[in-house]
Amino acid sequence: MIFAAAENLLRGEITATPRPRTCVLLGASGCALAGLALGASSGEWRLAVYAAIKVPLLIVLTAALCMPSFYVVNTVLGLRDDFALACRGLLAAQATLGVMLGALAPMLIFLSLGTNDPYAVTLLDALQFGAATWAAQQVLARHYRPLILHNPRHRLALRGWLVLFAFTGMQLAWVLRPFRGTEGFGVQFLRAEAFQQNAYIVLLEHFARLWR
Amino acid sequence: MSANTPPEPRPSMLGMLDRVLRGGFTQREVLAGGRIEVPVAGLVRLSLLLGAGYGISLGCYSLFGGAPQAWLQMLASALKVPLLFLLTLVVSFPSLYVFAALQRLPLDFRNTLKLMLLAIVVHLTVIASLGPVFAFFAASTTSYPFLLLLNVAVFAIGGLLGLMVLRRATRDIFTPPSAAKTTAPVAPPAAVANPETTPETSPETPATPAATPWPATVTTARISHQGAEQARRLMGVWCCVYGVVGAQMGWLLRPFLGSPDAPFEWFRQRDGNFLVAVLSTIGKLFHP
Repeated sequence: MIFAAAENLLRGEITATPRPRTCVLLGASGCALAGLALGASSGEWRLAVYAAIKVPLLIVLTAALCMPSFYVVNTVLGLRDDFALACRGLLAAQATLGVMLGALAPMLIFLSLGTNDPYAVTLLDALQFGAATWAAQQVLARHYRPLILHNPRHRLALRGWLVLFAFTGMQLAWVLRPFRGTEGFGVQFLRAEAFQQNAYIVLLEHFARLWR
Repeated sequence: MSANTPPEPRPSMLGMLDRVLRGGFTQREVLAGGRIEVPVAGLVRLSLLLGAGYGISLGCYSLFGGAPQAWLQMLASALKVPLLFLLTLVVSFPSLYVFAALQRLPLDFRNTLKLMLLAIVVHLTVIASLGPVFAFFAASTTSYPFLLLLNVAVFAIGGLLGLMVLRRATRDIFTPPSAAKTTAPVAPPAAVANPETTPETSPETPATPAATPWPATVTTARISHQGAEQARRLMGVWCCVYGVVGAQMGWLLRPFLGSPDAPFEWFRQRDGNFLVAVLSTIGKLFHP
């Protein structure tokens, strides 16, 4: 049943998209599976459980933080009548992201087993999330195509959502570390400095170091 | 009004906000009458509430940073954000109205004020809706320059959407529905029909037959184009005046965020200006 729903989500047309509750279930299970795989790679079962909670949390909290402004922007752009359809598209995209992350989890474990280099492992994680984001974009584009044809302003609202979601999601992912666990650090749900650092400043510092 | 007609129910704050965001008060047909049917007091109340909402999320930085007088900073920010908008309007409105009158904006003083307040409410709603995102960054970041720049970005996004609403409304005011919807043929203006005053009668260009009326689409296009041009000019002046006053007002009312290295203060000493401060903050991101 759940596989049929996932199949409908990935293959089907907009009308075949599963119900919102099923989308949430699909997305959450896929994200939890991916979290389990990430955490299990450390060999610590507690970290696996933590990560299985944190990956779905990351997606849900990011969406919750960005939703008020998405609502306001849609209203100001005169797109409120299509808001339910837009939200359905976003939900389908998030569910696809989860399904894809879950589907990639076994491959991630397999590849992680043969890799000790932490940079290579980080690259693998980035590739996994990149592939899942690409899949989510496909579904989102499918849902948004008729909306954009109906009113081209939907493109602007969608771009705004994507920028804000990525901007907020990156910082939240930084706060919710560790997902994999690092040697020398104990098993913990959140790092002690979780609320002290900013992902973008760390990134800038890394680039500044490369520049020097 | 007859005694039998029941009084129109007063819209709730949320209902009014919803109508503002949907552009219900700035529809072309409504604006054509030169009246915006929205109470000024209601718009001011909405501005105060929405501004206070975003101010509270600004104050979260002091709260999560463990500043000694965090609640005071939160209160100060909640008061200062709406004040920033309303004081900027008080200072700049006389000149904004004069420019509007010079451009022959068919709105009187009160209705021009309402139009400005509508744009301010949209601006404040957008920044208030980004409040949760800002509060999250305030809770998870200790970098003061980053949050300052994020605050500037939030204000800029809100400002862009507010301007979009204002631009749409001014364009609709300058292009009345009669011009937009004309279907019957319209006679050309006298000046155009007169061959002596018309450039079309020069030997290089064929003359327009005076007896042939202009098609409605040509008239409509001309009026629309003229209206759009007037709206563009007025918006340019309004943006400059309001932007300069707003930026300086924001600079005078700071701190909105409260520096972690400084004790709480309602206002800072007057020095420098907004633009220099933004550039120096970008520099501090790279060289803390």
